[in-house]
Amino acid sequence: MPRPVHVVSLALALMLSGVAGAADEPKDNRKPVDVDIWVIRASTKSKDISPELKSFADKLKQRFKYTGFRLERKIKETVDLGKTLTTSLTGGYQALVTPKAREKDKGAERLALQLQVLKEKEKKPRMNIEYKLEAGAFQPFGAWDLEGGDVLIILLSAK
Amino acid sequence: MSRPVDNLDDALQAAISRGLDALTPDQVERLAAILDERPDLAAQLADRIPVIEPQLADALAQAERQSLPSTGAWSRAWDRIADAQPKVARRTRVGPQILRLWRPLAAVAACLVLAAAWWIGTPRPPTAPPLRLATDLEIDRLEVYDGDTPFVVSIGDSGAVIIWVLEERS
Repeated sequence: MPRPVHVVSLALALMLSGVAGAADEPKDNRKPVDVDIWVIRASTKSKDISPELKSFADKLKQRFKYTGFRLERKIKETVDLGKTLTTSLTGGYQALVTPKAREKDKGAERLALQLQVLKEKEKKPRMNIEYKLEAGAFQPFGAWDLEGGDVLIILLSAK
Repeated sequence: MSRPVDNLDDALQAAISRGLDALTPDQVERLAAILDERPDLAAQLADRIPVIEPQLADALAQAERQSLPSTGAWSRAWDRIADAQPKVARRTRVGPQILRLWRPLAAVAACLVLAAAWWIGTPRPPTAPPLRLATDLEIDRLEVYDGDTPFVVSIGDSGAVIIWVLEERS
């Protein structure tokens, strides 16, 4: 009987085309993401600046009252796309980083990320942001209260 | 009685041979008066009397012999002089030695100056590479805690911004 054979052939062809299409998708877009988080304490009581933050601190001092910038820790982790990295920052704060997708824009690679900053014992995040930026570039976020009048600033990059 | 001249001649001979000690003081006085009156006799006597009395000459010679250093003393003196000469020579060379020390010191100082000038003039690399901040941020969604206010603040001229959350409790 010819009709059922045509249906089966059509379905098979559609399935095969779908698989072929999936195989053509660049594998780079699925590779894990290297996440780099710098935890910074900004203070008005100090003028000490960590060497790695010199250029960044010079920019911030032009806008804000803080004079001291201390790099408290660096966090480097690798996360699969769609998975969430949860890490402690300082002063009871936590960061949740979820790489959403990789994109190519005019030949440059960009990443879509979600960042949540939470304080311990609090249910709602202090900040929840979804954004896109060039791969490997640092995006600064701040500033959450720490003890002694200092504030928490984080620098986040992904590639 | 002998003539005064004969007595004078005897006195002169005695003075020549044995010195004035051979005459009595009175004779010496009288001889001196006669010689004053007779310049010709004084001249003859001067020719005949040795410049130095023999006894005196002997005494002087003996004194000279005693005062002259012995041969060994002369040798020792010359040796001392020869030994002293290098020391004297070294002392006199202090000035040039000091000048020689200044040359290497000046060379070292010049090297230090050159090194300092090179260090000052050479641009030194920063101790840590500058951060590469994102310049093309695209925000899809932003939520903050109740009462807090988010700001997007430009930092620098490159297009970089910081997401600054102003907490209500601040």
